[in-house]
Amino acid sequence: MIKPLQNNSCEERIYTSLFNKYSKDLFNFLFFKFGEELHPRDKVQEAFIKLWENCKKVPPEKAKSFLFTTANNLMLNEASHKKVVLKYKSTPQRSSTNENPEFLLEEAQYLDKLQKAIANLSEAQRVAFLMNRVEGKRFKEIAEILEISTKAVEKRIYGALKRLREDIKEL
Amino acid sequence: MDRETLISKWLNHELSEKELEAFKQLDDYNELVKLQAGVKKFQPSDFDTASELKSLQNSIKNKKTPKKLWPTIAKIAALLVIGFLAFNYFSNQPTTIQTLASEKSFIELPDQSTINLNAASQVSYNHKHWDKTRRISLQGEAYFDVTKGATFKVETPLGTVTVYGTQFNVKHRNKLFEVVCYEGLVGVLFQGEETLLRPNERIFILNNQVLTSKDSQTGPSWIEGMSTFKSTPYGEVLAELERQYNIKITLNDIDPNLMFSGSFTHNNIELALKAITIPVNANFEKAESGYTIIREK
Repeated sequence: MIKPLQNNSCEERIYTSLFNKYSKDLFNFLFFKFGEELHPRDKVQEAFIKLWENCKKVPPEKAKSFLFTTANNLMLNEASHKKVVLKYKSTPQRSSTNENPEFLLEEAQYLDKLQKAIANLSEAQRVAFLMNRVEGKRFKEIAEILEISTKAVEKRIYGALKRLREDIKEL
Repeated sequence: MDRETLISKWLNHELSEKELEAFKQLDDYNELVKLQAGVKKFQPSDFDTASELKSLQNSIKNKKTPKKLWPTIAKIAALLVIGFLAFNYFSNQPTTIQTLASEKSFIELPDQSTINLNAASQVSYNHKHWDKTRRISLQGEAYFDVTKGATFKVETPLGTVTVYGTQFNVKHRNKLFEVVCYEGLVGVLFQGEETLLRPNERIFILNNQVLTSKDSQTGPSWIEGMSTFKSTPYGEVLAELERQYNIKITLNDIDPNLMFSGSFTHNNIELALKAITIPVNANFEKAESGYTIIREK
């Protein structure tokens, strides 16, 4: 019955370090994949609570997979599979601007197009692409999180970029 | 360096300065930069790891232990099952009572039937199912007083006695099998054949030879401290004496198959020896581990 302490995630020190290591990545992953409507923040909490409840069965090296799978399943239980529309953040309006109104309008239109184009991407493409472009993660880091090969990550991102540009041109 | 490689390197944040220059010369440079600026606006909402951790720790604290109740319940259940099985096993084990040489025992059965167990004998029965099957296996000699109820059977290696009545004596020693009925009706099954004994009837089986006769006594004499024999081989008589006094007897020049009728007491060895030697014209001598019986010259 006695297992070495290192072997499970029940020890508070290990559990906390797992949270610090994976919670943000998990949150962003859920955000990119499912959008904000399905409360990715709550799902992160729920996934970590599940990890705590199962900490004896899940060694730290399996924790990441466990967390991502659990959170993903929690999402899928709720998701009605409607198209995910991510919101962009409007830049705070500066009181004085040297940008003319026409430029501002054009930019707003561009962002709308981009928003639709991103919604049109496949889940896999969107997650990989936004991790790369928004979070600034390298292919290798993304490959580790998604547990796929670097080559596959590159393919997804490159594919996403191509598709975005085509869509924006068409729209 | 071709365009695709440059874009790929740009995507992976690994353009060298020289490559960056080349990248800037690409036709789609402006478009890519614009796209990048636009995409940057799709920031996920802020995620503050520290405060999220705090709220997680709070919800865990409310849940308290991660221990599940199931293992405990399973352990208790396992113990109960083991206990039940053990109880079943032991209560299904037959009760065995054994007497040593020169020892007698009185046994009261669950239904208040009684057994008087003679020396160097053994009975065993199943205590738990006694009210359903009254079955006793016997080695040696015992006197039964049976109360009313289900069929009462006494099994010996030589034959089975079924009780229809109440009081009877069963004796099985080596090749000898003897049943005497004192009250009621007793059936003796020997080699597939049942003989019914009425009160004061006796069946005597020796070396597969069956003999029935009358027995006028009201109960077996051994209970009152006497062993009584009727046409019994002398060897069997001596064996009984050995059992009653826990001694060793050697025969000298006397045929053990000689038939003997008579009795001996259980309380006085000298008297008992006289009782069995005088009728056959023999003498006895104290030997190293008992007595030697010698034919009188």
